[in-house]
Amino acid sequence: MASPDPDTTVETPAEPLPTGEFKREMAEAIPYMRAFARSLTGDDAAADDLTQDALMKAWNARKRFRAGSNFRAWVFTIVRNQFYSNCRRSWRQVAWDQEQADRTLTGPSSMNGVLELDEMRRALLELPDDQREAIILVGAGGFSYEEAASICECAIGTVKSRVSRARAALAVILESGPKQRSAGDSVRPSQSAELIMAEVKSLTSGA
Amino acid sequence: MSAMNKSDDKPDAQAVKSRQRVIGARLQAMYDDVVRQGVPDDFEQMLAALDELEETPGDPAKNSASGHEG
Repeated sequence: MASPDPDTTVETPAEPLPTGEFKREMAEAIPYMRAFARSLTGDDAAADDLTQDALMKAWNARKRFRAGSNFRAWVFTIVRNQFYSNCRRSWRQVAWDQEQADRTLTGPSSMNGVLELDEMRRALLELPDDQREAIILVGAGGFSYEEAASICECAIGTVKSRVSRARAALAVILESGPKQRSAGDSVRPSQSAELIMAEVKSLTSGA
Repeated sequence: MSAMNKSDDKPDAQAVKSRQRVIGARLQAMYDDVVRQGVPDDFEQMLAALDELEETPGDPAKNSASGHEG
């Protein structure tokens, strides 16, 4: 993309970033890493642990990061690898008890409220891992299919199909209501579908 | 949308699209909700602690002598 530099006809060998810049990149990436980690683990504390582990990994590997490449994609790859190499099973086991739900829901700052975000988090956890990471990266993280493919170490076509399967699955999950929670749930299937339809109307009014 | 049909179980493409848009918006909201929290204190402290790890003088970009990678 950059215009060719007359002084360097050959591509310069990739250089690591100076430490200060590397650290600035890390600081800027932290909020996004936490968001990604949160959607992978479904748990606030586990997500922050995961993010910190990934930051340390990134820091230790800083000489391998090439200046000019996409830092966020690079560091997301580390988050993802860390997620899969840690004992994520144990995270999933604690992923959704009520206590944790209350903690999670302390401060959503926008949207119609806690219900929608709560529901979405739970719905995400019902997706297979590969679909979940794909939909998050592309649907929320702003990564292209190509970048997501590189983060997930798979083909672009694979990402595309995972994303579309994830979309379809989320629609089904959200409309049929939570399956992990039982009686006393704040959202019932029919109510859930109504919420979605209400949002559909508010978004598409005039269309 | 015709008043004649009392139930039309097969969702038309338009409805599916609309619903997908809502799901996309929620997904984004959920993600952004965390992003908006910025950098919590313990992460700031962690970044600061990296400074102390980085005591080796010289040019950190060129010097790979202390390449101690996991």
